[in-house]
Amino acid sequence: MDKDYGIQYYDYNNSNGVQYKGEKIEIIQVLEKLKLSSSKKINGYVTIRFLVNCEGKTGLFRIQQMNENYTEENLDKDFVKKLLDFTKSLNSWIPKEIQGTKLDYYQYLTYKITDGKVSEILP
Amino acid sequence: MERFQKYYLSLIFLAVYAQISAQVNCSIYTDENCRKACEISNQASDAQGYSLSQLAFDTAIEICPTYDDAYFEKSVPYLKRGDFITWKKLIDKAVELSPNNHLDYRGWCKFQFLRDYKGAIQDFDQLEKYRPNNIGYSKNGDYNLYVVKAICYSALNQKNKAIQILENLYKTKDYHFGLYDYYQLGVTYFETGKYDKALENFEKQSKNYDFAENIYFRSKVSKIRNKDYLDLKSLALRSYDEGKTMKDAYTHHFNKVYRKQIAEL
Repeated sequence: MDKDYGIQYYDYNNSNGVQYKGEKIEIIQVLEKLKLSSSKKINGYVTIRFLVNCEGKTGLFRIQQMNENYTEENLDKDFVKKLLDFTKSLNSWIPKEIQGTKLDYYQYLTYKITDGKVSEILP
Repeated sequence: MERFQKYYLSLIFLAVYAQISAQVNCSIYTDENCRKACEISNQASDAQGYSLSQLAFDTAIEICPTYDDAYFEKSVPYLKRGDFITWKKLIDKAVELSPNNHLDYRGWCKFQFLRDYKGAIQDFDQLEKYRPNNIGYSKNGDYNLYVVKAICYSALNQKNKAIQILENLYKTKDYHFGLYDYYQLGVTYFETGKYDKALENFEKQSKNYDFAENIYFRSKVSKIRNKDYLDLKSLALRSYDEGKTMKDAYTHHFNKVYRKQIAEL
């Protein structure tokens, strides 16, 4: 499927959440083990959006950072790089499928940062 | 080509399905431009997320800059794609023009998409000034927004306040219980160590709608009390595999439990 027609956000998998082997908890637990933190006591959100292709491989990573007031703000360059590298390292994405056809789709992960640590992973 | 057509049609179907209830009655607008903006916005909302739809909202805003729904509708695809900065700018404009109509959605999204508990509570409190005692429901239809407000307090570790809100709400005359209401109260009691009250609510939940997470917590209480919990654990896993879990099309529910957690009990 041409990347221009990748699914933007609708869940084609009966609302079963993030399509990752082991579900979202797997992503949470892998990140917890890494104990990533910022040297600064930052608060805000880092959102990384990317494409999952029909083979489950990722690419086209884009980052958006904002503070607690939903205003664009560069948080901590090194910490954000670690989050990007972590996101890129996730390699168990499940391709979406409609009527037996595997499709590309866009996925995002938002890291809520509280006092320099990831307090939640969304969606 | 045929594959593409099927895919494209599925997208349109979903877009229409998702927005079918969002149509505004445009005849209420006496200003001709605003009525036209309303009609354009209604039509554009049927193709949510497409560039032509977004451009149509721009046109609606241009001819009637006070038409709040165009800002709201334009904001939605940004939210669902994770562009929260753009979403916030647009939804703020909708709230500024018509707080009564958009604070519920903004507060719900702050909670559900960003776990911005304090921000959500602020919106619900502000909304109460416009809609005393009835602040409406979450966009996915699962919760009364007072339940969401209580969940926010629970997340902020104000468990007793959360319990108080829920207990009072559930006693309200003619209260319509949501899909997960008793479960959320049960989990909050569980987290405060009040297992009798927790179990009472999980049992009530199971009579309305039982699902894997609710069964998991009943099993958990049994395990804590050194009672047989394995049958319930098996039932929870079976329910999970049958798809009886907390579901949402865009995000994950608060207090959702994953299969791995049930298996490890």
